[in-house]
Amino acid sequence: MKRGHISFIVFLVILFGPVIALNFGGFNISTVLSERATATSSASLMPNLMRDQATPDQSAWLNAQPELRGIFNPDERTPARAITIEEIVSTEDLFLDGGAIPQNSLIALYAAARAPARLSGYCTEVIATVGLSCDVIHAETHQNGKGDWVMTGQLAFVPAADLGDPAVVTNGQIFSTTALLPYPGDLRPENATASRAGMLTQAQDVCDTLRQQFGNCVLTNVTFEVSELWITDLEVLPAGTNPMRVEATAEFTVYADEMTTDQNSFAEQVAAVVNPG
Amino acid sequence: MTDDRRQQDFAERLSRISQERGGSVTPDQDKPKKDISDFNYNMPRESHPIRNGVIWLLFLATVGTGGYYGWNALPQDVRYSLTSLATSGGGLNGSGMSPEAIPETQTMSDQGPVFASPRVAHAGSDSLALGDIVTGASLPTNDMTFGTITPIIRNERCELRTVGSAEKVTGVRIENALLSAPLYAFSDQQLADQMLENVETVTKGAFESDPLAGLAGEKTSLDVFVTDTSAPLYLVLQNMGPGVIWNLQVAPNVQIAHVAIIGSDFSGVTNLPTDTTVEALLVGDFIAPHQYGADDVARSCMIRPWRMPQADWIGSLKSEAGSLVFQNQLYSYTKGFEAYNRWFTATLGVDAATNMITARDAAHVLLGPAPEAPFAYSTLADQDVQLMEAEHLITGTPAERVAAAQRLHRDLLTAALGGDLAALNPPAMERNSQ
Repeated sequence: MKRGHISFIVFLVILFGPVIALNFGGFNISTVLSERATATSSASLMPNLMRDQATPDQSAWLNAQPELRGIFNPDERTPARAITIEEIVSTEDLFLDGGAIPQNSLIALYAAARAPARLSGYCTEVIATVGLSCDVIHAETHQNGKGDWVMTGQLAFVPAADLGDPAVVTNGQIFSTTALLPYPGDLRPENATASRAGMLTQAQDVCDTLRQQFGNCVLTNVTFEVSELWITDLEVLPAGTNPMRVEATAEFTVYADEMTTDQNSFAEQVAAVVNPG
Repeated sequence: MTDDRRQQDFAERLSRISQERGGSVTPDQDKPKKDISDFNYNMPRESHPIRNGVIWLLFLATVGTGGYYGWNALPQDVRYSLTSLATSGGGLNGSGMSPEAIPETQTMSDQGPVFASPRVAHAGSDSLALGDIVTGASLPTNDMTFGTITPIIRNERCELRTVGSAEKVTGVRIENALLSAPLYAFSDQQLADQMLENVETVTKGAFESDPLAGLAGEKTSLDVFVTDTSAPLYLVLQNMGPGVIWNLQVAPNVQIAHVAIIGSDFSGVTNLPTDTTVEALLVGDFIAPHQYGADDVARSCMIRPWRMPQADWIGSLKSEAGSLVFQNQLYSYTKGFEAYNRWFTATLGVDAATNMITARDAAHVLLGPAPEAPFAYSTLADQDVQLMEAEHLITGTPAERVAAAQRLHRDLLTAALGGDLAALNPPAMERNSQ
């Protein structure tokens, strides 16, 4: 080989080497900087999982895809996958577990401080249905017009279900859409453990169906919206009916071939799965 | 390069050999020389436009791709700083610059001048330093102690002592004092507000941070050098930030008749001359904590001491450059000052801008002319303090102060959590642990 050609190849290696290493290799600076908030679940290291752990190849591929890493990483709790919950608590209920109600100027502090512990209770429903592990990553509290305390939280979770393999997708693009999960009857289900767990399972079932169609699917969010029945509603219901009601909106995310899928068609497919017939 | 002497010699030798053998090869000296390579002597240099084009294309694509990903890999604030540096050009007049490209300086902030020690804020335009005013300056330190702390009973009504006919109203209006004043003074409400802020910092994402990191009630101090001998003075000492211990430093022949403190936090005064009376208004006793826009409309007893925006504020330059944020902020400052001035003028009979030194932050302020000869500095250490009465007052060594303040904060947080501090950050749940 001529000297000029060798020089040319050396030139290309010097030029491309650092770029490939920094941007497409394992270092992936963008990812390192932006994903400080993630945490590895010890459950994800347990042998008896419902789905396989990421192989080294899958991990390397995900590390090179910053926009996918938070969504498809099967072993970490990330802000990209969260259950959004809400609890409305009266001041009296805030202190049911003991302790005197403090002076008014302190109640906001007490409510804010107690929110993480109250909201972490919902993790039992998450790990019973869609998650291997669950943690409160955000909690905030405000007082509504009635004087009750509205606690809103986000629970990050490690998915129990297999997410599929986005690495095999060609011309891949992320598609996300939300859908209100249907419930029987006109009245929203009561805000109870069984209802919420049922909704989480319902959402996961939809995702499982979508995975069969797209090869992958992640349940990226389920938002529980809590409301209180009006007195006029309660008048026609049996005495003792729980006035707190809940409905859930789920967000599904897939990594699909953009040559064959677009946002509208994906939303239509999700709607068809969520509301069959 | 291509006219290497060795090549020419070699060509001439070839030519001579050829002629000796009867050949007719003669180097044509008149013809333009062929472009030949440095490495393959006498080989004609080929231009390779396609190859070179590909190389350049690859080079530019590589640099572009690397630059793009590298740029995106930088944290947002670093990118912002680099962009600002690249576009600022060093000018500060704001003309033709985007608002984001106009930086604050060490001496001018978005909300007005900053007079860090040893610079002295005063009415003139020339620069004055601490050494021009006093000798033997010994600035307060974090480990100094105070003498006796006497409470000032705050005014119950939104009023101040009437200004005497011979008295001259003068004073200081700032946001923050820049010297330390090692004591904590705070109310139960401030303690609760601070703990709520700490708790929300934790629960809104920073679960690993210390909920006792922020402590309420730490004070600051500021030297007020008074040299105005033109009349008995009625000093109005005003600030909007954390509480200030105003350290009066009175030159010979100065007469201070009265001191009125108007503060958004518990403040006090030291080195008060004998026979000088003092009173204090705590803003929170009369108006609610400031919320955006609340002071834009006239309200009774509007004693929050706003400062009138000036053209040289960086915020004014940003406003002129089109920043809606700063246009709104300056509007609020202007309206707030107008409302405050209405109360100030009605109460003291003079405009709130008269004889007033204003700055956002300051360590030393001079009221009056620069002295012909510097006078002795009066240190804050071991001075008796008259301080607005607060529900909690903590003094002592730095370690004692922090320990006492943290104990109060921890006790409150523990009660708020129902007895267990760990409940603020509950552990993650694992499926296998159920």
